[in-house]
Amino acid sequence: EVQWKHMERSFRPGRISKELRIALGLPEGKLPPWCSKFNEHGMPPSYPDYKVAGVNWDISNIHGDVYGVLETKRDGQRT
Amino acid sequence: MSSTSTVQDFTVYVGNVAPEVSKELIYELFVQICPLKKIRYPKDRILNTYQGFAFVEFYSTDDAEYACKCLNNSVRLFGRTLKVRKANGTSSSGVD
Repeated sequence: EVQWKHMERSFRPGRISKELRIALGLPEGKLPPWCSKFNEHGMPPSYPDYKVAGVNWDISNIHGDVYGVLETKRDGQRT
Repeated sequence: MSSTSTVQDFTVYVGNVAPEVSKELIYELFVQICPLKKIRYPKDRILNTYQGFAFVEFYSTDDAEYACKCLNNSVRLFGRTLKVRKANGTSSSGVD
C-alpha cells in the first residue's frame, strides 16, 4: 500500500510532527505523555535501543521535534 | 473471513477518537511505542466521516499489551482522551 510506505518513511519513534503536536497540545521542549509510562512500565519491548529524554537519556536532549532516538535501523531508512 | 485468535491477540481497539484525527496521526502516535503492522480505521460509507474508533495491529502480543498500558487514558488528541484496549477483551461481542 502506497500510503503505508509513505507513513513508514515519514514517521519515526522519537520525533513528533507539527500535526501530532497540535493534536496533543504538546509544545516543543515538553515530554509527550507516554514518557512517564515508559518510566512506569519499562521501555518498549520492540525498541531495545530506544533512547528517550527524561527516561534513559538526558532531558537536555529534547531539541525541536525530537525527544528520543532509535539506534536500530529497521529497514535501512534514515534521514 | 477467517479471523484467527492470534490476530486478535496482536490487535488493540482504539476508542474515543476525535473526527479530526487522520490515519497518519494514529500511525505516528503508535509508532512512538511499537512498530505497527496494520491500521483499520473505518469511515461511515454515507457521511464519509470517521466513526470514532480504530483497530491497530502489531507484530506481537507483548507490543499490544504494552501499547494499552502506555496509551490508554493517557493521551488526549484534540481534547479527547484515547481509550486503548485489547481487541479480544472479555466484553467484546463480535468484532465487525
